[in-house]
Amino acid sequence: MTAISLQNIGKHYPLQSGNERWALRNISLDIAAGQSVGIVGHNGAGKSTLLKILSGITFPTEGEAFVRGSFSSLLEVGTGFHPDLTGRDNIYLNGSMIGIPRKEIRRHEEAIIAFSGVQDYMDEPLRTYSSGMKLRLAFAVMSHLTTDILALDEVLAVGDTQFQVRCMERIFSMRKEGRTILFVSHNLAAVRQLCERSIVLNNGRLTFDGNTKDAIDFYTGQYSSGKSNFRMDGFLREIISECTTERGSIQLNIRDLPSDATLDVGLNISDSNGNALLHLSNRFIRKDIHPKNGAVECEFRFEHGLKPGEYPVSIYLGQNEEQLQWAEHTSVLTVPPYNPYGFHNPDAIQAAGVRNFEITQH
Amino acid sequence: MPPLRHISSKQSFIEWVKIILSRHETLGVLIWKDLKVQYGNWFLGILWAIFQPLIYLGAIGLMLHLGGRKHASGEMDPIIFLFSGIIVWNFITNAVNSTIAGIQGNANIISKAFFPRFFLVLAPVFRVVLDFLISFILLISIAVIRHSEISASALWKVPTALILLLMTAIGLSSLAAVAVVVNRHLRHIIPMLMYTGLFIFPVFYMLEHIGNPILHSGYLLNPIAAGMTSVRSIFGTMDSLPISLAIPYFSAFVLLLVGIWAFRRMERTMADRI
Repeated sequence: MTAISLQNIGKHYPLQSGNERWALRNISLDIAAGQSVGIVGHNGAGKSTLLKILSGITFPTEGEAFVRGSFSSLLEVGTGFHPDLTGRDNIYLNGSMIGIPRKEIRRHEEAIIAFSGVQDYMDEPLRTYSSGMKLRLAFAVMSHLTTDILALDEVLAVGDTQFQVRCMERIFSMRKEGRTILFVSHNLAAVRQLCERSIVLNNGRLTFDGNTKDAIDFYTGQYSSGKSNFRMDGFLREIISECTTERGSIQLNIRDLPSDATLDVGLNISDSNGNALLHLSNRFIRKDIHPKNGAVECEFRFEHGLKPGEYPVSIYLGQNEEQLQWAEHTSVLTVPPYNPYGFHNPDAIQAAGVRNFEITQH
Repeated sequence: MPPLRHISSKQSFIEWVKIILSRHETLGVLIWKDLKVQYGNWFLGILWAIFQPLIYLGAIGLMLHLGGRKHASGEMDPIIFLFSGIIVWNFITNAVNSTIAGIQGNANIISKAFFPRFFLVLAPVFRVVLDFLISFILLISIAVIRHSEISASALWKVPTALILLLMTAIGLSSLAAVAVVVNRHLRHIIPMLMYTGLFIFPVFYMLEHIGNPILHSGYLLNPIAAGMTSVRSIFGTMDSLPISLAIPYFSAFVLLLVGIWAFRRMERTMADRI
C-alpha cells in the first residue's frame, strides 16, 4: 500500500523583487506504508518545505500529492508550548498541535508525566522550566503519537547526546510498530541507521532516490575531489585537495578579505556520515597567517591516518575573533584504496589510525 | 483502508469544511488556551468581562453628561440604551482585535503545525461570545435594578441578534485577518478604526436622528446597527427599523461569505507570509 504519493510537486515563493524562487520543483515520489525514508540535502534544499506541504501547513504551487492514513509532523520540538501555562496544560496544547486526540492524551497523561521525569513541576508555569526540562516534556508527548505517518525534521538537532539517544530509540520503536517515517536530518549517521531508503534534494530538485548508502555516497560525493569542485562563493576562490595513502594537502586561494588582520583558518574533515574526524587549525600550531591586500594563498600539509574513502572537508575563515565564512562540505579529500593493515576485512576497522605512537612490551 | 488526503494547489470548499469539522477539537484547545493565558483564572475573566463595558458606559455617560446633551434615546432609559449599544459594539471590536492579536501571537504555531487556519478567526470570536453573554446578563440586571420595562415577548430576538452579530463578527474578523497577514502594519491601524466605530455606529444616538436619507438607509443595511436595535427592542416598544430585519441579515451573510472567500485565498500562503 502506498502511504505517500507525490506527483510533480512544486512550490515557489514570490519575492519582493518580482522574481520567484522555486523552493521545490518536479518532485515525484511514492513511499510505501511502513517504509522509513531519509531526506538529505543542504540548508535551503527544500527538505522542510516538502514536509510542510505534506503536513498541510503550506500549499504546493503545482502538482498534487496523496497521503493515506493519519499524518503528523514534528517540525520543531515542543510546538505550541506556551510559557505562561503549566507543564500539564502544555502537554494538551502541544499534543493537540501535533495531532494527538485529547482523549488519547487524557488516557496517557500519567504515563507522559512519568516519562518526562519532571512530575514535580507539572503545575508550575513552563517559563520556570530549564530548556532540558522542556525538551524532556516535549519528547514525552511526542512519544505518544499514534499516527500512521510521521514526519520528523531535525528532531535530533536539539538536546544533549543522552537525549538524542533516547530520541533515536523511540523513533526506532515507532518504525518497528510499522509506521511510515520521513526523516529529515543533517546527521547522516542517524539517517543511515534508521532509513533503508533516502532521497537527496538539491536546490529544490530531487537528485537521488535509492537505498540510503548510495544516497549518502551521492550526497557527499556531490563535492567530488580535486580542483573541479571548488565553490566560488565567499572568500574562497579555489580549493585544491590532494591526498596519498598517508599524507594530505589542501591548498586554499583566499581573496577579497575585509582587512589584512591575521587570518584564522580551520579545516574540518569528516566522514561521509557527517561526523567530524580531524580538525586542522593554524591556531592549534600557533602559526599566524598574514593576508596582503586582502588576499592570501596557503597550503595545509598533514599526515591523516585515514582509511581509504572520501572525506568531506569544511572550511572556517575568521578574522579578529569573528567568523568570516563557514563553508560546509566544500571539498573532498580522497584517500586512495590500499590496505595498511594487511587484514582481510579492513572495513571492519573503525576510526582514523594513529601512526606516531609507541608500543612497549614488558 | 485508512482515509486518503489529497493535496494540491486548490482545495474545494467541501474539503475545507470537512477538515474544519474533523479538527474541531483543536478549536476547543485554542479557545481554552486563550482563556487560560489571558485570564489566568476564571474569576478574573468574569470580572474583566463585567468591568470592560461598565468602564465604557461610565466614560461615555460622563462625556454625554458634560457635553450637556439631552439623551437621545427617545422613550428609553438612557443608561439601558447606551449600555445596549456598548455591549454590541464591544463584542464586534473585541472579536476583530482578538483575531489580530491571535495571528500575531500564534505566528510560530502557524508555520510549524497544521490546523485549520480558520480557527484563528473562530477561536477568538467564540471566546468573546462568552464575554458578550456575561455583559448581556449584566444589561438585564441593570434593567431589573432600574425597573426598566422588559418585554418578555421580545426575548426571542436575543438568539437571532446573536446569529446576526456572529456572522458579522466572523466576516469582519476574517477580513481583518487577511489584512494583517497581507500587510502587517495594519495590525496597529485596524484596532484604531474599530474604536471610531463607537461614533459611526448608533451607540449613543438613535437612527432616527440621522437626517440624511441616504445615510439613513445605509444604516438599515448595517448589521451592527441592527444588532443594537434588536437588543434595545427588549426594553421598550422602540422599533426603529421600518423595513424588515431581513435586510441586515442579508448583508451580514454577504459579509460572512466575502470574509470566508478572502480568508481562503490568503490561507494558502499564510504560513509563508508569517
